[in-house]
Amino acid sequence: MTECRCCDRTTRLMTALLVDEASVRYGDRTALDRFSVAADTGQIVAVVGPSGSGKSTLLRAIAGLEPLSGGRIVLDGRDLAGVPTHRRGLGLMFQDHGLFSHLDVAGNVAYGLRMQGEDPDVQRSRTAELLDLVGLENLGSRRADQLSGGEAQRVALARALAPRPGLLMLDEPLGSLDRALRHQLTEELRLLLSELGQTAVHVTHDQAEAFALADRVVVVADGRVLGEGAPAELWADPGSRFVAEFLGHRNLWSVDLDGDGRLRWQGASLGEVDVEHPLRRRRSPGQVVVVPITALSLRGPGCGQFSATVTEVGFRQGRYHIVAKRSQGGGPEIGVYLDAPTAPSVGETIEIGVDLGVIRPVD
Amino acid sequence: MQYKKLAFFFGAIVTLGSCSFFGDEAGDTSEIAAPDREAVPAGTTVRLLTHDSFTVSDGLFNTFTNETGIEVEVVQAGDAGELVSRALFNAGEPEADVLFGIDTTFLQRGLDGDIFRPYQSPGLESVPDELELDDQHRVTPIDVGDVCVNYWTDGVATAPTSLDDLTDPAVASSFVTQDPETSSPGFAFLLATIARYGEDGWEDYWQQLADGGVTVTSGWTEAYYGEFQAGGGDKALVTSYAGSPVAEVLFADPPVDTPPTGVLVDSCFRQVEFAGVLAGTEQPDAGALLIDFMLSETFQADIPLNMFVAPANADVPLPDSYAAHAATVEDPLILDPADIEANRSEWTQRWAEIVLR
Amino acid sequence: MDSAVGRDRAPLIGRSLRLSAGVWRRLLAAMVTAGVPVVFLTLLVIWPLIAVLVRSMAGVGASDVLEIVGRPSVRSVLAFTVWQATVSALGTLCVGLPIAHVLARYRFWGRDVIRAVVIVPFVLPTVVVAAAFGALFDRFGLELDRSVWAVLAAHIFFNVAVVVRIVGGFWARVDQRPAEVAATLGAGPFHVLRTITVRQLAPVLAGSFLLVFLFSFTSFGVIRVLGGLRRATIETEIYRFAIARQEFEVAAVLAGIQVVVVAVLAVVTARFQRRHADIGNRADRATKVTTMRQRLHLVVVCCLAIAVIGVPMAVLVEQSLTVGTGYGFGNYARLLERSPLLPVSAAQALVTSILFAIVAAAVAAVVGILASIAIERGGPTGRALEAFALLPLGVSAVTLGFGYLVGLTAFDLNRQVWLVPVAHAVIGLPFVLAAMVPALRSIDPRVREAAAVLGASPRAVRMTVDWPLVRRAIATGAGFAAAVSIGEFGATSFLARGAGSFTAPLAVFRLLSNPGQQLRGQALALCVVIGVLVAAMATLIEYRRDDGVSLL
Repeated sequence: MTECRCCDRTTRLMTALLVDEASVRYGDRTALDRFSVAADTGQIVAVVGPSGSGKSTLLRAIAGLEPLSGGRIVLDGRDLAGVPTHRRGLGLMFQDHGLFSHLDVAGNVAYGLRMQGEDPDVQRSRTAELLDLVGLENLGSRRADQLSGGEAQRVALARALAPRPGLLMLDEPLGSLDRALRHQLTEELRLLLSELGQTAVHVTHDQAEAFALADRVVVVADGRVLGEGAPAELWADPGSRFVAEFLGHRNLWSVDLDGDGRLRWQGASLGEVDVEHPLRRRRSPGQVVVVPITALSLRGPGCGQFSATVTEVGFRQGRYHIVAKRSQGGGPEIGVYLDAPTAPSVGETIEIGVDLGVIRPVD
Repeated sequence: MQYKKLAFFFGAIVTLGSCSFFGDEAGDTSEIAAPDREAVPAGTTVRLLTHDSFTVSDGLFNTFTNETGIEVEVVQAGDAGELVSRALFNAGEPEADVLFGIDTTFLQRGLDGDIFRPYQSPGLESVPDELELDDQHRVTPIDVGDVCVNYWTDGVATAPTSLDDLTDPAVASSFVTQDPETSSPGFAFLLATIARYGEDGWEDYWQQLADGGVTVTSGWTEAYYGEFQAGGGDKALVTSYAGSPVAEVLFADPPVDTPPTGVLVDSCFRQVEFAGVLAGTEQPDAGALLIDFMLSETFQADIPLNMFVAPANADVPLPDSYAAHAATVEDPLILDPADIEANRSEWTQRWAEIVLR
Repeated sequence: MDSAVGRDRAPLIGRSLRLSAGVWRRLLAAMVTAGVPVVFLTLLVIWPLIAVLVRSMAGVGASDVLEIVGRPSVRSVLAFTVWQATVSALGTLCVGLPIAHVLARYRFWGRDVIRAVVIVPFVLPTVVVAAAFGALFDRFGLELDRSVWAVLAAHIFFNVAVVVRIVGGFWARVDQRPAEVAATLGAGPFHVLRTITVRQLAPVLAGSFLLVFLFSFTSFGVIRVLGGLRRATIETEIYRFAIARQEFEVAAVLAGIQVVVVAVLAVVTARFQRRHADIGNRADRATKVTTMRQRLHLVVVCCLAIAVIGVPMAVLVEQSLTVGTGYGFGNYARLLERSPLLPVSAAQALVTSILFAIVAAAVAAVVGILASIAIERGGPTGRALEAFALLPLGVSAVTLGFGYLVGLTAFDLNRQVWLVPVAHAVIGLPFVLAAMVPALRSIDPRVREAAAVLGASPRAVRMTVDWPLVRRAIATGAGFAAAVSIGEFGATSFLARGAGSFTAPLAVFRLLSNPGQQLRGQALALCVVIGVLVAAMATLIEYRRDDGVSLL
C-alpha cells in the first residue's frame, strides 16, 4: 500500500504529460495510431516529423480540439477524457500566431487571465511581467495585426504563458520566421522555458530546431512514433533508416561483416570492429549502418580505410563540406559526405578514415 | 434526416391549415331585419373595412358610440381595387363587419361575389332613387363622386367645354390620364367616353386622343403630381375628380380664394360609393347600425370636406366652401354596373390596343 | 491515501455528469440558434405563403397550373423579370464597386457622409423619386422616362447602398497581402482586382448581388411608375391578377414561380457565399490621399457618386423648399401640424417610423445573429434557413400581404401593432445575414481554438472572439434593417393599420393622394426628413468612438 502510494506520487510528480496509445481518426484516415509519448515536469519534448505525420493532430488531441478514438491523455495525473478544451489549463502557440486581431497586444496577453476571472490588477501586472519577459514591454497598446513576425511570435508566447499553463504546446512556433531570427528565438525560448521550469511539447518539421530546443526528441511518421530519445542519443543511434535520414544523416551504407569481425563496404575493408560493437550481433549480409558525418575524416596518403574521388566542395558553418564518390570495386558510384578542415579540389582522389566505434546498424 | 423532419413539419402545418382554416364556408347572405339596438351587447366593436382615402373628422364616430355603445375600428386596405380584392378573397369569412368604398365600377363584382348581406336602412328615404343601383339593398349608397377632366386654368388658352374639345391635338398632347386597368379614375374616364360615344364611337375618340399625343400614367398620383402642372409638370389637363378644386383651395399654399384648376363638367362620370354589411359577420346588427349612422346627417355632412365628394343624402346641405368650388354636375355620364362588369376586360383590352400600341 | 482514492473516483463521476451536461447544453444552443429563426420565418413567411397559396389554389388542378405556366405571356414576363433584375444587379455592382473601393481605400473628408447618404434612396418613395428623375431628365432634355433604361437607372439608384455599404465594409478590412504579392508578380491594378480582390470578396459580392437582384425582381413601384404602361414583371402581374382582375389562382401560380426562382437563386449563389474568405478581420487600412493620381481617382469616383445619388436628391430637397413662388421652410414647419387627411401629424408618423425601425433593427439583428450561427454551423437546417431567409425579399408584397391576411387572422395576430415592426424585421433579416455570415465564416478557426486553449468556454469564445469581429457587420446589417423598416409599406401594410401604426411613408402616400400644393409640399418635406433620419440611424448604429464605445 505504502509502496503503491509512493509510486503514485512519483509518477505524478515526474510525469506531467502522458499520452497513452492515443488514436485519432479522420474518417478512414488514421492521423494518430496508438501514439504514446510522455513528458516529465519541466521537460521540453520535441515531436518532429515530416508534414502530414500527425504532429499537429497530437497537439490538437491534447488540447481537446480533436476527439480520441482510442487511448487516453493524462495531464498532471488527471485523465482529460471529457474535459473540454477551455478547462484543460494549457497554453498553445500556433505557427501563424492566431492572435486576436481586434485586441491590442496587452489584451491578447491578458486574455487567458481574463478567462480565469483574475483580478484586473493581477491581469495588468502579470501582462506587464510577461511582456517584459519576451522583451516587448513598450508594445502593450499596439494592435495585434500591426506587429512584425518576430513580435507577433513573442506576443503569442507571452499570451500562452500568462495563465501559467500546466503544459505549453508549441506548434511550429518559429516556422514563419527568417533563419537568423529563428536561431535567436530558439535560444531565447530555450532559456526562458528552462528558467520557468515550463513543461512543453514542441512540434516541428525542422530537426535542427528540435535538437536545439528539446530535452527529448520524438520522431514521428504516419501517426506513429519511430524513435525517441535525448537529442545526442537519438542522433548517434537513430535505430531506423527513416529516422536517420530524417535527422539528416547522409551516409547510410550497406556493409558486410566477416566471420572474423572485419567490416567490408564496396570492396574496401574498413577494419575490424570491437567485440562489444552492436554490429557483432547483427551480421546479416548487406546490413545498413549509419555513419555519422563526424565519423569520417580526411587522412594522409595510405592512411585511410578507403579512397574516393571528390565531386563537390561546399563551405558551411566554418567547415568544408565534401561530397566524394567511391568508384572502385565496379559497383555503382556511392556518395560519401564528410566535413573537412581543408579543401581538396574536385576530381582529386582522397583517402578517408572511418571511426568504426560510432557507426550503428539501422533497420 | 433533418430535411425529412422539416418536410414533416411543413406537411403538418399544411394539413392542419387545410382542415381548420380553409373550409369553404359560404357566409350567411340572408337579409338583415331592422336591427335591435338593445340586442347589441355593450362593448361591441364593429370593424369597418375601407380604402386609404377614407377620412372623417376627429371624433366623428364618438357620436355613434355614444348613441349605440358600439366602438368603430377602421381597417384601411389600400386603394378601391385592393379593398374589393381583399373582401372577395375573404368572401364568407370577412376580416370586418362592414365594407365602405365599393363604387359603381366594382359594384357588380362585389355583388357577384356574394360578399354582402341585404339590409334596407331607414336612411335610404332621403337618398335619391337613381343612386340605389342594387334593388336588393345589398349595398347602400353613401356618397357621390364624379370623375372629371380637370384643367390648370393658367395652362389652357381657353377652358375646354366638351369631351370633343380634347381631341384637338394641341389639347390632347397636354392631357394626362390614367391606365384603366390599374387606376380607378382612369377606368371611370374610359367609361365616360363609352357612355358618351357608345360602343361604336368610343374607339374612334380614343384613337384621336392617342394620335393627338395623350399621356397615360399608371395611377392618379403619378398623373396629378408627376405630369400635371399642379406638381410642376407640363400637362394642363388631368383626369381627377369634380371635388378636386375644393382641395386645391383648402390645401393651397399660399392661400387662395379661387382654385387654380377648373372642371370639364361634360366629361364627368358618376361614381357612387357604397357601404354594405359583409356576409359572414358575427354581428350583423351592429353592422347595420353603422350603415344607419353613415346615412345620418352627422356622417353625411362630414363627407364633403374630408373626402371631397357629395353626400348621398340629398337633405344634407353642402358646406359653403365645397359648394363654392366643387363643380356642379347636372347631367353626369352613367353606365349600368352589370354592363361594366360584363365588358370590363374587353374594354380595357381594346383601350390598350388603341392607346398603348 | 483516502484523497488518492477520492481523486481517482471523483473525476469519473464528474466526467460523466459533465459530458451529459455539455451535450445537453450544446443541444439546447443548437435548438435556440436554429429554432428561433425557424419559428420566426415559419410564422411570418412560410406559414402565410402556404396559407395564401392553399386558399388561392382551392379547386385548381395541375392541368390549370400547367396551362397558366405555359402561357406565352407568362414566359415572356418571367424572361423580362429575370433579365431586368440581373442587369439591375450587375449595373448596381458596376456603379457601387468603384464607390465601395474608394471608401475602402482612402481616408478623406466626406467619407462618412457618402456612406450615410448612399442609404437614403433606399427608403424614398418611388413616386417621389420618379418625379425627381422626371424633373432631372426634363432639365437635361433626356427622353428617358417610361423606358426600360429608366427602370434600370432607378434600380441602381435605389440599391447602390447595398453594394457600397456591405461590400465596402469588408473591403476596407480585407487582407491586402495577396494583392500585394500579386502586384509584385506583375499583376496590374485591374488584374489584382480581378484575380485576387474579387475572389476574396466573393461571398459578399454574391450576397450583395443576390439582395439587389431580389429587390429588382420584386420591384413594383419603379416598374409601374417608370417602366411605362404594361411593362410587366411577375410582381406587377401578380398585382394585376390579384387586385385588378381578382383571378387569384393565376396570381398564386405566378407567386409559385417567384418562390421557385428564389430557390434556384439560393442554390446557385450558395456556392459563392459558402466560400471562405479572409475578410473583415483586419484594421481599417484606408490611407490619406497622397499622389495626384489618387486624388484624381478619388475625385472621379466621388463625381460618379454625386451624379448617381446626389443630384436626384438635390432636386428633391429643392422641391421641398419651394413655397409658393420662393423658397422657405414652410413645408417643414407644417409637418408638426396634423393635416385633416392624416390620422396623426406627420411628425407623429415619423416617431412611429423611428420606433418601428429600432424594433425591426433589433429583432433582425438578434434573429440574424442566431440564424448566422446556425447557417455557419451548416447542415440541412442551416442551408434551409439560408434559402428561406431570402423568401420575403423574393416573393411579392401582395402575396405575402394576402398571406398575412389569411394566415395571421387565424391567430388574430394581424391586428397587433407590435407585429408590424417584427414583420419589417423579416425583410431586414437577409441584409443582416448578407453582412454577418461572411464575417463569421472569415474568422480563422485557429483564433477560436487559441481562445479555447486559453480557457475560454464556447460561450466566452462567442463573446470575446466572434462578437468583436462580426459586430461591425451586424451593425451594417441592422442599419439596413432599420432602413427597410422605414421604407416598407408593402406586405406589412396588410397588418395592423391605424393611428398607432401610421408610418411616415404612409403619410407621404396619403398626402400625395389628394390635390393641394400644401399637401405636395408637406409630402416632399417629409421625404427629405425620412431620408435624413435613415442616414442618421444607419450611421448611428455603425458609429464607434475611438475608445470602442458604440451602440453595438
